[in-house]
Amino acid sequence: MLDQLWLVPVLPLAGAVLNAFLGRRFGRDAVVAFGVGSVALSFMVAVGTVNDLLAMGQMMHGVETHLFPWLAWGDGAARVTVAEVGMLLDPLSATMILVVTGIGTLIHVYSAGYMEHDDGFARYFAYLNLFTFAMLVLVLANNLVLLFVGWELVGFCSWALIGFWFDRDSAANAGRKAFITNRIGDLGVLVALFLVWANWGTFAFHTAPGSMTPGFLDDPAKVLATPLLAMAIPLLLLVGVTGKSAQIPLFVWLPDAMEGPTPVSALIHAATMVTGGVYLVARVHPVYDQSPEALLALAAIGALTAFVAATIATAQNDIKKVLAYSTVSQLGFMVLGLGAGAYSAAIFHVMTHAFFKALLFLGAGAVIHGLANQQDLRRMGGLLRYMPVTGWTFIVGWLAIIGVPGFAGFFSKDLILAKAFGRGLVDPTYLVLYGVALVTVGLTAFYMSRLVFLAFFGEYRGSHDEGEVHPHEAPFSMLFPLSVLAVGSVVAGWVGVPAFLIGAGGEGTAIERFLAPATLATGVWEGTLNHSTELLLAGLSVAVTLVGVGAAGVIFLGEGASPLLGELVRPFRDLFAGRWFLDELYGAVVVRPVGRVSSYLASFDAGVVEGTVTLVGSSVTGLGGILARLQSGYVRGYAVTMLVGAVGVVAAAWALR
Amino acid sequence: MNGVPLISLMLAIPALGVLGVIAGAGRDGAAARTIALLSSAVTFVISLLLWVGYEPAGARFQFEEQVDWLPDFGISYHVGIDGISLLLILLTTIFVPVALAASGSSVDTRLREFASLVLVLQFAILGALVALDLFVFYIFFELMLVPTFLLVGVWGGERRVAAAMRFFLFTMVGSVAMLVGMIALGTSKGTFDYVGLIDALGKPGGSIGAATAMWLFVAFTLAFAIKVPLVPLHSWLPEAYVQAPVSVTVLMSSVMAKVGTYGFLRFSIGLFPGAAQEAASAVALLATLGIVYGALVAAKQRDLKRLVAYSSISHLGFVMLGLVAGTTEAVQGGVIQMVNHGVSTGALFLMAGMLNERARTWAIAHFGGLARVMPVFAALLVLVTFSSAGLPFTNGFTGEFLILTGAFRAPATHVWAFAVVGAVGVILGAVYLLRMFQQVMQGPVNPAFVAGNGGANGPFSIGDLTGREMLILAPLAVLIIWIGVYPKPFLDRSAPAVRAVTASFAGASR
Repeated sequence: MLDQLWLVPVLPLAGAVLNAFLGRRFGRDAVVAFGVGSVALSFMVAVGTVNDLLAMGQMMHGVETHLFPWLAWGDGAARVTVAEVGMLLDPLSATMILVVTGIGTLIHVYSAGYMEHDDGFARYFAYLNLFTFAMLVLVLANNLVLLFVGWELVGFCSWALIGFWFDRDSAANAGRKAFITNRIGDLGVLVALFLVWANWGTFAFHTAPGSMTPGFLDDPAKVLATPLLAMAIPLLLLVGVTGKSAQIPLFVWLPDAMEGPTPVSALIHAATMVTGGVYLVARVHPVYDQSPEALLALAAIGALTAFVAATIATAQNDIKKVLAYSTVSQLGFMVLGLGAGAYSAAIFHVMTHAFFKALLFLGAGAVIHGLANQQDLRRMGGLLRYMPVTGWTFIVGWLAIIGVPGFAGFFSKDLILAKAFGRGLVDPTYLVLYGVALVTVGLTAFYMSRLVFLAFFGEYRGSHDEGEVHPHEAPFSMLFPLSVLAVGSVVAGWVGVPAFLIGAGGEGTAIERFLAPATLATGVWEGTLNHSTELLLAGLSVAVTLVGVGAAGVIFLGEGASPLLGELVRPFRDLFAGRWFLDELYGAVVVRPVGRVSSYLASFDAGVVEGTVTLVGSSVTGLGGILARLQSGYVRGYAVTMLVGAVGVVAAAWALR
Repeated sequence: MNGVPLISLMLAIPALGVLGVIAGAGRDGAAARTIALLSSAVTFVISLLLWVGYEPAGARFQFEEQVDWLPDFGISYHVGIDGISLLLILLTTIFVPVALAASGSSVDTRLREFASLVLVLQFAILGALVALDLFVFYIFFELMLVPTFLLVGVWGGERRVAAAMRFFLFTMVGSVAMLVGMIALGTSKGTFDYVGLIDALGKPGGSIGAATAMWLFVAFTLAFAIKVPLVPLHSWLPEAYVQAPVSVTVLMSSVMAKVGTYGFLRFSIGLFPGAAQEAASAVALLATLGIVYGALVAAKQRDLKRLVAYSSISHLGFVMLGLVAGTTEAVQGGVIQMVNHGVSTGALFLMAGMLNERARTWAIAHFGGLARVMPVFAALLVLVTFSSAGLPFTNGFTGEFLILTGAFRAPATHVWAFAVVGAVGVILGAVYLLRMFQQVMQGPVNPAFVAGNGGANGPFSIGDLTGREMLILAPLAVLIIWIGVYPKPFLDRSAPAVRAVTASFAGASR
């Protein structure tokens, strides 16, 4: 099956091409067949290849497939390869392709129901397939340029899908904002790429068989020759990570991305796109291992983003906006994990988060679908009665994200917290970051409980009279993915149960051991925690979670907040509801100044152009006569004149030699 | 194939085509265009034969022909091609029929003269691309001026005469500088032959001295920099591109500008690598300035055609940056980016023209929501827009990435920093291109395009792409993807020639 690995990305690409060219002609059933079928097949092939990889036993660098030379020229000894198209299947990419195609398939199935009545059905599935293809290119690439291809194509697909309902200016704006913000981050990646090429002369992750140039990840210390470089490359890549994985300062695009159809949000937030940044760091971690400063920067940005996004989520009334900020916040946890050198913990959280965030978004989609496009939490309530399947699966997702023991999110989030704490024993700064993350755990429990209580409990607050909105359950094509994801939101975490708890041999967790060949940090990073400390930390998170749920319960299920408390938190509420006014800040500091420079240059240039007009103007009147003559057919005469003139000059120069 | 003077044949076809149009078409404009199209189709086939016959591993120049012309002056009719000229020849032979087919309703008077002038222009451009004698090159280079001048001045918009005149004067100034430099060089070495000159300059004791070389480099570069154009020598361009009919704008930007970049690589760098090395930082500065300046100015344009014109300036900055950086990747990128610029900017101008034919306006504000009205057009414009914005797996990325990656490790001082600034230009490109796309294609449909009744175009007053238009754009779409995904056939062909240039460049830096 390993030889068929290329099918994993190519199948969704084929689906995209078929739907783009033939979809409108073939009708909806064919579109679904191409769109859903291609990704489902891709998932099956992925399972087969990963199974083969496991059967082969652990290999340090996994299995590489070289498909064709891309940015390359010459043959044989004269071959120059800047980048090829090739794939690397190792435990890291194996995990990712299973998540991307597995969750991706469910989102495709769901979309078939959700988008049923949309005009752009074929276009939608073409882009959705292309999105899956792009993400698979990103995670399967065997070199940094090809990874960047997937990275950029993901950005392109997000532009197309966020702006899918392009007649709405807000949707078109959001799509453009997503692409441009990502591109700003990509500038960092691009310059990092330049440095990689200048420093190693290759973009290959690992040494190709028979190649004289070692892959740059196999020789990361080469960069140590210049300490500045050792820090520059990971920091520049970090800029890209803040764009793609929606971290401070570039996360502002993700909440606006809600303008796209809800399944698209699920795809972007769960299976593709935002996980790209986390994956990138895990992939090139040997470069990060060289620079404690860069890791600390990662960790700080992650913890800060987790906290800030969680505060904003507490003050949003749009159900999708709450979920959007929760994604930003959860990504912050992942980035904190990366920064602690716990790359496998971060990837583990990518995996569990993919399940429960897809579940939550698709559940929100079902709610919106059932309420005729109502997204305001204040107009919901008591929905558990009207849509029980959606409601109960959503509750599973809620328990998973807030980290109730036994559910998926608990294991992965706690692994990250434990790693951050452990790193804190070596570098105390990380203890502060751990503290921030712990507070964020409480905030997460609060804002997610608020959402669930407002939407599913209490009385229905939407009006039954206005319009004919009767909350109703979603069709089977939407409920089926919800159910599968609900199961996943529980069991996906079980690969991360600490070995000592279940009496299994070995240290750490199964998922860490599986990922270790690809993600184990070189060098010692964290202080080792003994088992009782681990249990204590877990107990602490659970306690904080309970406080968060309790507070939300008192306010949103019970009497509501006391007026005094309301007064006290008002300034914070305004800050959070205003999203810390970052969009305003960027508008004032970046967008408008660039616009002003641009306007100034445009009028300057127009002036220059007009200036030459005036300069030339006088001669035009005189030469206009010549032009008139030329127009009437003296072209040949003119050409001959010029030729004669030129020859004359040559002759003169020769004579004067 | 041996013994057939393919290059001369290729030059002869458009020349014969002119005669054919004049003699065969009479007063029938449609026939004139058909004859010209036929002629350009034959030229294209011959250029394909060159592509097939060219061997990357073979001699430096292939299909060479040399006939003495003015032996007393060391001038001969010497033509031949290497991989660089080969790619640009194909670009030319593709775009001439495209431009003729696209002239459509924007050119409806004096079709006979129009068609013949386009063929004269093709003759001149192809001649300049194959010339291996400085004097022969100069003649062709100058000959381009005449048909272009007339094509803008006669068939252009309201302010066509002023635009044509300005274009003419600017290029004349550059040409005179080059002519003087050329004569000084040719007479001092006793030959105008390109290969002969390189030999003579490379021989021990053949050097002309660093100062002289620099003066000559500047003289040649001035001519090419105006043709490209390099900021700040661009002020002829916006008006000329805007006033010219679309098919002429396409020929000017896609093809003629390439003779400028080609000449810079072939002659400025090829003949004076030492001076080029020394001036690299300065040229890179101007090129990068052009990238950023063009993009920022483009962002504020309200006229679709003018926006594309400034984006053209920005994109040609990348080409110049790549060429002058002097590393193999950068120059390879610069060469392929010449083709890319031709394809993508050409496609943008063509599609802008198609909108204009429907809506009779260039004002961006007069469009809006057209993706609903013209879905096929919209899909193609997505491809072209993102190719222009350098999206990976489109041609734009192949060129820009090679240029910037190569420039970053360029030996000349500070060029690495220009690569970084150039990368900023990539972002700015996305800014103005996506805004343009949004304003024209997205948002609610502009009421001007709603017909209200179910006419030929459904509820709208204008229709989607016609078969003819799709035929025009299809080859460009194919090239965008092909060069994006599998550029190797192109890069293979340009590699030996590029290596020769970079070797002399690197040699000069020692």
